[in-house]
Amino acid sequence: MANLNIDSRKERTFDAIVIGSGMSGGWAAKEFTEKGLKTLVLERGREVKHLQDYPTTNLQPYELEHRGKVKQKIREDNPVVARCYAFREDTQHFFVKDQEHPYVQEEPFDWIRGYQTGGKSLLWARQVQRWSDYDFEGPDRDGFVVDWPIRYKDLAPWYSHVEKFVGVSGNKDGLDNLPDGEFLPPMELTAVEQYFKNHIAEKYDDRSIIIGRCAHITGNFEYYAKQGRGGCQHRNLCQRGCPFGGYFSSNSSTLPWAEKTGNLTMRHHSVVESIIYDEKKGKATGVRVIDANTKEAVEYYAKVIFVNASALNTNLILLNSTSDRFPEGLGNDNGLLGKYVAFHNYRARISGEYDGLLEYRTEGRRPNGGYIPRFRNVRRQETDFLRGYAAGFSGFRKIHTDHSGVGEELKNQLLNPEYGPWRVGSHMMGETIPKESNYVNLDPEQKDEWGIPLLNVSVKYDDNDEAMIKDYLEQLTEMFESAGFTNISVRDDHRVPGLDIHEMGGVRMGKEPETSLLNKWNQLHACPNVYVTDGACMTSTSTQNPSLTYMAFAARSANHAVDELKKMNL
Amino acid sequence: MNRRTVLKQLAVMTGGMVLVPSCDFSRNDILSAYDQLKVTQGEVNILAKLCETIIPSGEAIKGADDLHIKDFVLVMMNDCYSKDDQMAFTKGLKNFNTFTRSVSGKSFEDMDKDESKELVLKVLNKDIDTSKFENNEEYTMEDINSFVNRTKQLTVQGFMASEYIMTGIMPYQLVPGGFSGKVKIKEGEKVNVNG
Ligand SMILES: Cc1cc2nc3c(=O)[nH]c(=O)nc-3n(C[C@H](O)[C@H](O)[C@H](O)COP(=O)(O)OP(=O)(O)OC[C@H]3O[C@@H](n4cnc5c(N)ncnc54)[C@H](O)[C@@H]3O)c2cc1C
Repeated sequence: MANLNIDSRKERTFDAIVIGSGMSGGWAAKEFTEKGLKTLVLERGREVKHLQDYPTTNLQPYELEHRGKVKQKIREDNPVVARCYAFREDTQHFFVKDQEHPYVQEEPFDWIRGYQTGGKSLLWARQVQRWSDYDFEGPDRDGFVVDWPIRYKDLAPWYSHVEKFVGVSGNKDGLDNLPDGEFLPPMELTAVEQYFKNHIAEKYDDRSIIIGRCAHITGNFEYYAKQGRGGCQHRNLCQRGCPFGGYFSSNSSTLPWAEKTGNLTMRHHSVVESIIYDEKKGKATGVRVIDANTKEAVEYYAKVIFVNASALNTNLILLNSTSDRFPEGLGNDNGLLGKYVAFHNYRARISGEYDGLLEYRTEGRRPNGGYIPRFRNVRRQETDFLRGYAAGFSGFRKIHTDHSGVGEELKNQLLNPEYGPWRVGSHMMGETIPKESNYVNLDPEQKDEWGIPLLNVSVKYDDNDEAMIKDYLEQLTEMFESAGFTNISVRDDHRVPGLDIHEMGGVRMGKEPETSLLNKWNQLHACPNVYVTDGACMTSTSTQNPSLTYMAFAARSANHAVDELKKMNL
Repeated sequence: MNRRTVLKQLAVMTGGMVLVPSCDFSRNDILSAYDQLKVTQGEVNILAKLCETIIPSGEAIKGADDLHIKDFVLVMMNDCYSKDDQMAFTKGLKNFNTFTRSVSGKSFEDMDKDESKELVLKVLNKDIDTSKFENNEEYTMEDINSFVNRTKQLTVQGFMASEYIMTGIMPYQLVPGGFSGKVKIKEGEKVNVNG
């Protein structure tokens, strides 16, 4: 019996544990296994294997029973996830339904989640931009929150490392506020986007329009064939899972790569309840897992633990990891764990029409869009609000079909549509300021099926966000008008925080243990063999789509942990 | 890498994949829609006639009857609309014959092609003398409007998003292979909404 226990404990002991198999966890797993560490990835959701488990991937539009629409009953029962634009008939199986995993909304918050192999990396819109020092220096220059403990130069090589492997299509634009990366050939702007780009370049010296930088393979095909991935075929059905591996997901890329090393163990249906802290050793020794199906508890052990459960779930796990040493949650000596949560403000959009270039159209589909890098308050404070916004920008030929009448006339109209003007549109992606009053914590009473406290979310907009919305709409209206766009209409959809799916913070990085949770290597100040390299680590949010930065942090920290283990420092 | 190698490589990558068979909405879902919306065969015939009035079948191009659009309308109504929308729709459907009798003296099912077209146009154009059925308690003009307009919307959708249109008439490419942002439109070129 005694021996059995020892054997069993041995079988449950690894060099490294990674919690979560999503975008950031996949990267930690890849780096660890490549460096020879026996690595356990714990994933609470079911297994989704690349290619095999994409049931809708090859369906024609007319093979979807409801032509893409989700059933009314499902939408009514799950209002939060139903508000996500990507939650459709052909993708719904990759999203968490509200009813399956409840949480508490002290303030309204749309928490969009994917619990399965790959997490939300199957579902993302694949936009990837680097931060620059204008972003990292923001908090210090503008005097909000604490200073980032790193600068661009610390992350730049890791951006390159990640970009090369995932495959990023983009144009070298030479902008100091949005550094270039390791790019595969860019996708094309449409005729009207190119026109707007030229116009804005002439009219403004601080603004530019570029083609989006997106995690799609558009070149260097032999290199990606080694991952079993092929070039993007422009299906623009990415969220179904790509049969070509044309875009990056953990499922198609990092996880199979890690598996090939022979050093990866993946366990699905494994809900991490907490991290185990050993007071005598002064470090974490493992994690406590609840089997999602049997509800049995099991412990796993490792020298180093990476928390990559996605920003808010990472907060939850740490808050729930209490011990005599850390009664308020692991590493939470200063009481700041769960606080300074922030997100991106996506509330406003603008649309219009352009009557020129009518001799042109587009052809094929483009799983990408145009992008307007932040131009407000970049080099100095110039407005009455802090920070700024980036924006999407796209323009396509409108196709006009006359739907009036019935009978032969209607049928004839439907079969003979005409090109209308170009339709142009933009949406904002605003930086929000992290505040102590925007937080998550554990509900004192309610628990989920696995006995884990429900997460309570309390995150709100503030006056700075309102001022930014106003400025975005004013500036974009001016830019649209000056380009000769007509029928301009603006909209604030008043969506609640969360639907941006860029929730960040709660376990922020910083220089001082008194005012932050993580050091410059993403280690908990108070428990250095636990690293947090997902969105929870973000000190501020800037305006870039964040996942590239999470992946760069994950890769950088994993390599740091490998070095520290060698030096016997962990 | 040349095109042949790309294709070979893609064949390897997708080779192991389980291809989901093409699934038109199954018989069961249609029956369950009949069932839950509580529509009789007679009412289904009225709906079919309305669909066919909206997009008639023809020699050259198929229409609502050929493409079983009524089944699409019923499945969509059953699965994708709120209880209120469903109520208005079924009320309009169930009373449609009575309604047409009171405004034009003829049941919808007995109308010929021109008569049914004229009637439907009148409803769509809000050109109905509602005083003729003011005192009935079974249905309102809103129910009729809701039924006719929703049926029209779904008939158009079902037609345009049918396999027939999306393969033969306005082909949709599942794998376009590329994207061009600026292509000159040729003289007399046909516009393809799925292009
Ligand atoms: C529709 C959509 C569009 C998006 N577009 C973009 C974009 O264009 N650009 C961009 O940068 N970002 C985008 N995002 C956001 C992006 O998907 C996330 O930032 C990214 O996936 C976060 O990576 P992660 O590893 O932190 O979390 P995830 O990828 O969500 O992975 C977390 C994993 O942890 C698992 N997990 C959670 N709790 C536990 C637990 N207790 N125990 C065990 N496992 C657990 C989950 O099941 C999940 O698999 C988008 C997201 C969506 C949904």
